[in-house]
Amino acid sequence: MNALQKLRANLRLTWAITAKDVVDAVKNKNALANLVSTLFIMVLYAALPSLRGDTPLVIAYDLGDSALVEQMEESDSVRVYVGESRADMQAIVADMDEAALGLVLPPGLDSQVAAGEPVVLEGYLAYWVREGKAAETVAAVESAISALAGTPVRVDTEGNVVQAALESTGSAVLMSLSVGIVVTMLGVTILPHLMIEERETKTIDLLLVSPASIGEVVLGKALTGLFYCLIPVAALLAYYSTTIVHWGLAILAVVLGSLFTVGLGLLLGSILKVKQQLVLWGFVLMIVLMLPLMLVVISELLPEGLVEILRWVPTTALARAVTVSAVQSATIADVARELALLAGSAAAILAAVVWVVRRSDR
Amino acid sequence: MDRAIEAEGLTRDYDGLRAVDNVSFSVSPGEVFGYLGPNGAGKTTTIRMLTGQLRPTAGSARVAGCDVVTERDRLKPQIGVVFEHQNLYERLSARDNLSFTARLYGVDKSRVEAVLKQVGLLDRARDKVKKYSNGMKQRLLIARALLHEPQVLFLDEPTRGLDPNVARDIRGFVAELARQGVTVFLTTHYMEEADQLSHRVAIIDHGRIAAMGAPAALKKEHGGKANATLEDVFVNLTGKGLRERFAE
Repeated sequence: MNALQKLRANLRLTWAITAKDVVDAVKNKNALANLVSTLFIMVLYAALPSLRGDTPLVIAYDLGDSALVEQMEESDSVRVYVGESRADMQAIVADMDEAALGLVLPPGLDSQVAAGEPVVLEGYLAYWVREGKAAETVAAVESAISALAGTPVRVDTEGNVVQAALESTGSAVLMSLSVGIVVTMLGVTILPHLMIEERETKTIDLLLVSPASIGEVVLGKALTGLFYCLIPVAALLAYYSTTIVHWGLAILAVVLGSLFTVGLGLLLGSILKVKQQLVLWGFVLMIVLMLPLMLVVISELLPEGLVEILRWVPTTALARAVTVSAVQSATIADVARELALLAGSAAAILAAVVWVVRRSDR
Repeated sequence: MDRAIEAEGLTRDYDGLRAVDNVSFSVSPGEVFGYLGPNGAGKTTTIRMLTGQLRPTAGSARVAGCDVVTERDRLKPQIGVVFEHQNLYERLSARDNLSFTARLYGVDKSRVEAVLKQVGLLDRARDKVKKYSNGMKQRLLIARALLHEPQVLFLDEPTRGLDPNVARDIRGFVAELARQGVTVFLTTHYMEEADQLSHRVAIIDHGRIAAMGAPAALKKEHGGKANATLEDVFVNLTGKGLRERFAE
């Protein structure tokens, strides 16, 4: 058998196992229920911002100590934060997880208002805010401020798009947290069953006497795991499609990150004897992988050494890589360490699964 | 190939306990070889070593001309196994189970229909396996093991727990396979079945072969009475410990 024939045989065997597992998953009510629950949580999560109400949010940069800021602060029709500089105002706009309108209040605004002259303010919106939402936000702010000022106020946002910076939080961070949580949850709660069931039903014996090698069995199962993870992650990325700037990076990161959690799930399923043990170990692993995800969001409050350690946890590396996919100025070099960490840990974990399964003949 | 199966000093330890102890035998192509023994005697462990699932602690074995340790990749397409447990994908249909196996072995899909017909499951091929009776599942297991037309077939207690009609069907399959020249390595607790199907049998006790030969010869040598059955031979050779315990 030459190399090409061998490769074709490898692919055939790997695909046979993946296809069987996918068909089996579609017919597995428990797996479907888990997948639907995950999608439901995501939909609920996506709907959360609407629960905040539709009061528009303004980030003001006040150059002239305008009374309008105080009026806005006291008003119920608009929420307002004040930036200390133009850059600060733009950074806050970028850090928000909702469509916030950055406003520059020029010197002499109060006298313009007092004279009843129409006012045009310079406005800024984050790059990811969809066109419809942008128009809606601007209109709501114009209406609220016009009422407060007693004179027509127009906000001009033409060309004023705020890009995310490497250190930005906001929508990109929410997206990356969601991706991290979803792939971790699926990885350690559902995917171990791919191995546990094969062992419990002894169908693993069929695979081990078949022409498929252990590597092909594990790879086939890893591809099934990717199928499980990438369905909800694809829905998430679609939801955050305007946030992502570098799609290639985002996809590479979620594939590598999913492979890591898939591998972890398969390893757990290969080591654990019965399903009941999964509840405990799945929970422990979720804490170990999700807590760092949450902690790096508040990294400014943590000791630098701890933050550095947390960054070596693969799920935080995944979150960081996904976050950076939203930064226009970023290059692959900005997340080279994270991508290498994800690829390396995924490969190591999958190799460990092969080793554990192979040990069963010793 | 002179020998379909050849085991030489095959030994397997589990955590310091010897499950199979220096077992040697050979099986000719087309022969039905009965491998009999009480529970825990080492039958399944022997099958697991011969099918490449378990490494021997010592000794060696060749099946279909392939070393079971160093030539596993070549060995796998040559053997079919009906396992002790009904290890089927229960949420899948019989056809899906066989189609999966066909893909693993690179077998044409037309074989799926052929073996379904052969074991009489064509009418129920679309049903989920979990709706099948034990007998139907066992027939499906045999169909799966035959799908790629192996040279050597391992049957680990293929009629255990089946009603007499289904068990008879399965014995019929085995006899037919033997007529077609397939080598069959059969473990069973049913002595009559072993007597009826096997050209030769080996009786294993505590991991060691206690006797081996044609059923008629064993009955003559170890039966202990005229018109002895294979069951008499089995009890004489393996029941000593039990009898002593009851006598106490």
